[in-house]
Amino acid sequence: MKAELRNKVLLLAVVCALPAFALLHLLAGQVDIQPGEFYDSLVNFNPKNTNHLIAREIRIPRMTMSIIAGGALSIAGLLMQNLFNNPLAGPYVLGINSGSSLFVAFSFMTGIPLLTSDMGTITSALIGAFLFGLIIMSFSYLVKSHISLLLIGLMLGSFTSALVYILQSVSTAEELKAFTMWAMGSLQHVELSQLPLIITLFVLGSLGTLFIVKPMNILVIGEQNAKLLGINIRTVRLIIISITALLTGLITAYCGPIAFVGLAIPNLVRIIFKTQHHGTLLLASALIGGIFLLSCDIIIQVLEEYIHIPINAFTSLVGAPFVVFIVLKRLA
Amino acid sequence: MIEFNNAHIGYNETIISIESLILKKSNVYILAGRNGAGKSTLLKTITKQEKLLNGDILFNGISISNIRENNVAKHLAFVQSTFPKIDFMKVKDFVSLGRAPHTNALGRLHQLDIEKTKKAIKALEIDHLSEKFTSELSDGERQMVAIAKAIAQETDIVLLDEPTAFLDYANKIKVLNLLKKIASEMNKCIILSSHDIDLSIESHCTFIVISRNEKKIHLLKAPINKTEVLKIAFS
Amino acid sequence: MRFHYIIGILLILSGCGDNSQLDHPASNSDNIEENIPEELIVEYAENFQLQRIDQGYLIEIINPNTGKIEKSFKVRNDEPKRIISLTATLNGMLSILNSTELIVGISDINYIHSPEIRKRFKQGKITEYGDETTYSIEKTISSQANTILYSGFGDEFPNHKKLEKIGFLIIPIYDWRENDPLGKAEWIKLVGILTGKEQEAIALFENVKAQYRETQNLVRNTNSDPTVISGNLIGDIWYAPAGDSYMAKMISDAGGIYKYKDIQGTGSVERSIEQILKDNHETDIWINPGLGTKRQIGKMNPHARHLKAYNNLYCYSTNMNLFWERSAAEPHLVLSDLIHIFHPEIAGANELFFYEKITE
Repeated sequence: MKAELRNKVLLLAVVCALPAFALLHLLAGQVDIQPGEFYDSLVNFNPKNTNHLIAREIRIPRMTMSIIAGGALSIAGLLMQNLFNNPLAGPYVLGINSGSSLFVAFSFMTGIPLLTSDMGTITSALIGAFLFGLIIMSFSYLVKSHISLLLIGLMLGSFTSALVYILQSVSTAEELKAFTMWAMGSLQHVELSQLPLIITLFVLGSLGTLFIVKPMNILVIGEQNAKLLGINIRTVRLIIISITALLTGLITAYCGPIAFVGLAIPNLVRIIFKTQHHGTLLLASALIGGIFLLSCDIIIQVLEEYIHIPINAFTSLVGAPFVVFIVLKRLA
Repeated sequence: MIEFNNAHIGYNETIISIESLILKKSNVYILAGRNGAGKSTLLKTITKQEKLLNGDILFNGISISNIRENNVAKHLAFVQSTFPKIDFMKVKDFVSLGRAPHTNALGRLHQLDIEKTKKAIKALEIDHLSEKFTSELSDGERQMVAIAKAIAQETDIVLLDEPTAFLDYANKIKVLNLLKKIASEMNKCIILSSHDIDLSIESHCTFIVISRNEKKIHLLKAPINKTEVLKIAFS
Repeated sequence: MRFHYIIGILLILSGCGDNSQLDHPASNSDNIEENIPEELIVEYAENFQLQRIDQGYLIEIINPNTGKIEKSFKVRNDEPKRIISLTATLNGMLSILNSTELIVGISDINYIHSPEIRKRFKQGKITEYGDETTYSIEKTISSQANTILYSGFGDEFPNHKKLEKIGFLIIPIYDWRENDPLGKAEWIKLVGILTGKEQEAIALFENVKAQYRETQNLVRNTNSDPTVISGNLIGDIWYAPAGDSYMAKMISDAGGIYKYKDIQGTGSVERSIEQILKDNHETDIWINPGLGTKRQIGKMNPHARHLKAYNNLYCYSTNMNLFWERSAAEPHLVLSDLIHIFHPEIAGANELFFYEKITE
C-alpha cells in the first residue's frame, strides 16, 4: 500500500508544481512585467500598453505552448514505447514528423500558392502529419508484428528526409534559411488566437488515451500475450497511432520538431513512479513533460542576455545524457 | 475440456493429424515428442495463433472456428516459456493482468478480481513475493508468477509451453506438483509440453506423445514405460 | 536625376577614350618616386591600403578582425586580368567601370543583375563557380582566369596555396566589413587599379562623395525625425545593426532616429522579440526585414504585426541583385532612398531606387 500512496502524493505534488512553474515561466522574460499585469492584459487589455501586449501576445502563448508541447510529446512518446515495447522509442519513430517536415518544406520551397498562404506552414504540417498517419495506419493493419511497423516507420522517415534534402538543394538561399529556421524548433511562434484550437486538439488527444489505458497496461507483456488476454491488437494499434499522429502533428505544426522530450520523459516517469499502471504514467508524463519544457524555457530566458540557446539544443543537451543513462541501466 | 475431431495441425502441411482425442478437466497432460514434431505448433493451434488446417477442436462443446481470436482468453490461458522482461512490474500487478478478460474497459479491479488474484498467488505459493518487482526474481520464481497469472484468468484450460525448460531440478518438480494440485483442486485441464521425459514420467501424468513419422499422437496413461515413449517419439 | 549623373560619368569615360591607350604616370616617366595621385589615397576605407610602386601599385588587404594585413600584392599596368568574381559588390563596380569583359567567372547567374554580365554569360564567355563551399579547383585551373575575388570571411580561400603556385592572384574582399558608407564605395579605387582604370575610379568616387554630402545636407534642418527599426526575427532572435555599423550610420545620415545607435559594435545587436516589442512598439518605420512580402515575414515572425511599423515597411529585397551590385558603389542612392522614406516632405528626395514599400 505504501507504494500506491507514495505515487498519489507524488502526483499531487506534480499537479501543484505545474502552475508554479508556469508562473515562473511567465515572469522569466527579460522585460520586467508584474504578475498582476498578466491578469490585466487578458481582462482589461490596453493595446497601447507594451507590457500588456508582451504579456498577452508573447508570454502567455509561449508558456501555454511549452506546457502543451511537453505534455503532448511525452504522451506520444509513452504511447510509442508501449506499442513497440521499447523504452528507446520516441514520438517520431513512426515517421509522422517527417511527413510534417516534408509538407512544410514544400510550402517554403516550391511556392505553391495555396501552401504559401498565411496559414501555410501550420496547415502544411498538419496535412503532412495526417497523411503519414494514414499511411502508417494502413501498414499497421497489414503487418503482423510491431517490429515490421517500426521498420516501416523508420524507412518512411529516412525516405522523406532524403526528399527534403533534395528540395533544399534546389531552393534559394532565403527559402533554405526559412526552412532551416523552422526545423530548429521554437516555442515562440504561436499567437494567442491559435491557442483555443491547440488546446482543444491537445485535450482531445489526451482524453483519447483513456480508452486504451487497459490495453496499454497489458501490452507490456508483449503483443502475443496481450492477444491471449483478449486484447484486440489491431484496434489498439490504430488508436495508439492515431493519437500519436494527432499529438505529434499538432506540436510539429506549431513548434517544429522538438527533440528528446518524448523519449526521455516517459522513461524518467517510470523511474520515479516505479509502476506500469498506465493511467498514472500517462498523467504523470503529461504533467512532468510540461514542467520539463517550462523549466528548459525558463533557463533559456534567464540565460538570454548572455547567450541564446535554441530550445532543441537545450533539450538535446539535457536529454542525450539521460538517454545514455537509460541505455546503460538497461544493459546492467 | 478439449475435444479433437479429425484435427489437422501444421503450418502449410499437416504435421500432426488427430482423429479423435478428448482431454478432460482435473487432469494434467504432458505433451512429448522430438524437436520439430509439432509440440509448439499444436499448442499454438489450440490458442488460435496458428490456423487449424482441417477438422475441428471444441472447447466445452464450442467449435474453435466460432471463437474470435480475442475471445480465446475466456476459454484458455497460455503460459510462454520465457518471461517478458519488464521494469517496475510488481508480482501482484502482473498476476492481476490475468483478470483482464473479466474486467471492464478501464481495467478496474473489483473486489472479486483482487480475491482471485490473491488466490492464484496462494496456489502457486508465492505470497512472499507479492510486492516484489518481477525483474528482481529468479527464473524459477518468475515461472511461478507466470503460472499464477494464468490461474487468475480462471479458465478451464491452461496451456504451458516448456514451463520447466529453464528451471533447476528442484523447481521442475515443484512446478509439476503444483500443476497437478491445481488441476485437481480447481478442476482444470492442464496441458504442458516438455523435453524432460524422465521427470515427466515420475510425475505420473498422462502423456500425449507425438510420433513425427506417423504424424499421429498416442495417449499414454500412467504408469508410463519410458521405452514405449521413446519408441513412439523417436521411431 | 541619377540618370543624368550616370550619363555624365559615361561621358567622362568616353571622353577619356580607350583606357589602355592612356599614358599611365608610371610608364610615362622614369621617376620611380612619383607620388600616387592625391585622390587615390584611401580616405574612408579601413580594410585596404594603396602604395605606388614601380610600374604599378602595391595593395594591402587588411583583415578587419585582426587589423593585420591579410594579403599583400602588386598590380602592374601591363598584366591583363581575367577575373573570377565571387562577390556581387565587385561585379557591380566592374560594371560601373565598364570592365565586365575582364570577368570570366561568377558564382551564380541567378544572383547577377548587370545586363552586361548576363549577356556575356549567355554568350558562354562566363562560367559559374558556385560559392566558396562548393568551389571546384579543377574547374578553376582549367579556366582562363588569373585572378579570384571573393568576400573575405577570415579563413583562407580553399586550396589557395595550390592555386597561387599556378599563378592565381587570390584577393579577399572586405568591402562588406566597412562601416562607413563612403568607405565601402571607396573600394572602387581597388577595382580601378585592377582594371587599369584608376582615373575613372577616382572620378567616380569623387562624384559619389559629393553626391553623398549633398544628399546628406537635405536633412540637416529637419524638424522631426522618425524613429526607425531595422532587421528581422531569424528563428527566435531579432538581428539589428549595431550602433557603429554601416546601416546605423546610414539611418543617422538620413535623418532617422535608431533605437540601438548607442550600442557599440559594428556587427549585429541581438534581441528577443519581447525586447523588440518593448523598444519599438511605437517606432515609425521598419526597414530591411530581409523578406519581400508580409506573408513571408509573418511566417518567420508571427508577432511582427504588433509593431506599428508593420504598416510602414520597406525592403530592398524585391530586387536584391540590383541592391547587392549597386548599393556599395553608390551609397548616395541608398541614402536618398532612406531620406525619401524617412522624410517624404523633402522635395529634393527622388523616387526610390532600391527600396520598395511592402504592402502585402
